[in-house]
Amino acid sequence: MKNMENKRKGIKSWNPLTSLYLIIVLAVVSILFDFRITLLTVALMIVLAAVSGEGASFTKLWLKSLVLVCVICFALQSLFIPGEDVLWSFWIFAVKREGVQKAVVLCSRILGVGSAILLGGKLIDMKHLTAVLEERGMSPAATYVLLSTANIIPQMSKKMSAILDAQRSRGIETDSSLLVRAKAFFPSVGPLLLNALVSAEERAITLEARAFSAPCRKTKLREIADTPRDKALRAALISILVLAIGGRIALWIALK
Amino acid sequence: MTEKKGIKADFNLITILIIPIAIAVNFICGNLVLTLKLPLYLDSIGTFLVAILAGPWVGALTGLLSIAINSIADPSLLPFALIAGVLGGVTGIFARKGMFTKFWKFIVSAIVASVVAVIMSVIVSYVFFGGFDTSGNSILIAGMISAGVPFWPAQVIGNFISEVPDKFLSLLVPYLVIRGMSDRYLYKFSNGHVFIDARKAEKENTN
Repeated sequence: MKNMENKRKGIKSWNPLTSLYLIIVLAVVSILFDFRITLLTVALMIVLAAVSGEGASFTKLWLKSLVLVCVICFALQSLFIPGEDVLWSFWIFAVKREGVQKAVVLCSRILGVGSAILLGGKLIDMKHLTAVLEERGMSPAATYVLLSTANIIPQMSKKMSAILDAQRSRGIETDSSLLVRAKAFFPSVGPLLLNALVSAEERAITLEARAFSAPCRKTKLREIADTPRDKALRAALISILVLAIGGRIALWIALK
Repeated sequence: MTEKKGIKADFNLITILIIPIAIAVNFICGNLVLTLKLPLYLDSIGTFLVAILAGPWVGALTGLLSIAINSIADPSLLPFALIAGVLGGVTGIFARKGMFTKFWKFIVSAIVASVVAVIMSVIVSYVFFGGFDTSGNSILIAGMISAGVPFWPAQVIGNFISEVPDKFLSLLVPYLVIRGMSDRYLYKFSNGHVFIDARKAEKENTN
């Protein structure tokens, strides 16, 4: 166990709470200032992901979701926001200055916050984070909801494909005209929902048999170290956050 | 037995267990729609089911969490968590008032939910994406604007076309499922008595 923990690189070796603070600070800083700072924070995030050994997978996901969204958003904004000052026109399309300005602000916001969330998803282990949060007083019911969602989704996808196969073998068409496909939806979803509800009842009995709602202190399977380094890092991150917000307010007053 | 009331009573054990399941149902139905290549989202069936069974607070929480969890993979979805949350809450309130016990009442609630959905999605997509998000209907909206339709009407019409059939179907599935549930199961949820009472009343009327 100890060995496995040591293998975690960079940010991943931090206490998950510290990583969460880092993500929040990055997200806030990236939306407080203009697009140059956003680009800097996003670059920093890619570096952080790379240091923690998630560089390739983070960048891939980032390109596939966020960059694509921003490109579409930018194009539509700059083409279709009404404005006077035409920068460039082509056939019935015209790029307007007002549209471009708005698009830059919007896209930098989407990019900043979005990248932070993606990075959080890559770097923070949910099991560890929920363990820490529970230690700090979050109710076990809430952590159960967060954790079990991640487990139930793959289970249910399996069940769904089994139901689809079963219904296909009984003659329901799943690849024909639109109306036929729409008709296939109900017999596929119905069994899934009823199945899920029955299994919820079974889970309730199982959890109760294991004293889930017993009002006593429970033993933990997982201990997560909160080192002095983590505490120092958290203090530093909070001061960066305060400084950034203070700086933004000062800038705003100065501009007025 | 006394009627259960309050937020605390809404979050009983079976409710807590059913929230993750609802989120998974949202996710799976969203995927199923993609497999069947239907022009809808249908990614809030689970939220509506929980909202109808367990009330507005649980519904709102499920809606919010469901999209928030999805947004770990695609962060541009995050603002839409707001819409899902509000819709879950609205559906929960309507269910508590007994608006899902008869078919005509279901139609009324579905209309209200669709209107709320249209208003919310126009606002959210304007505030967070300037009116053009990444869903298919922003191409439709862009098309309408370049054809000369003013900005706001185009937004409303575009969202109307995508939201109304979607919300109608998403509410129809839980409505049918709950009609098929046994009293014994319904009673475990804080809104269950609404449906049980309605069933009793219907039986008395027919006798």
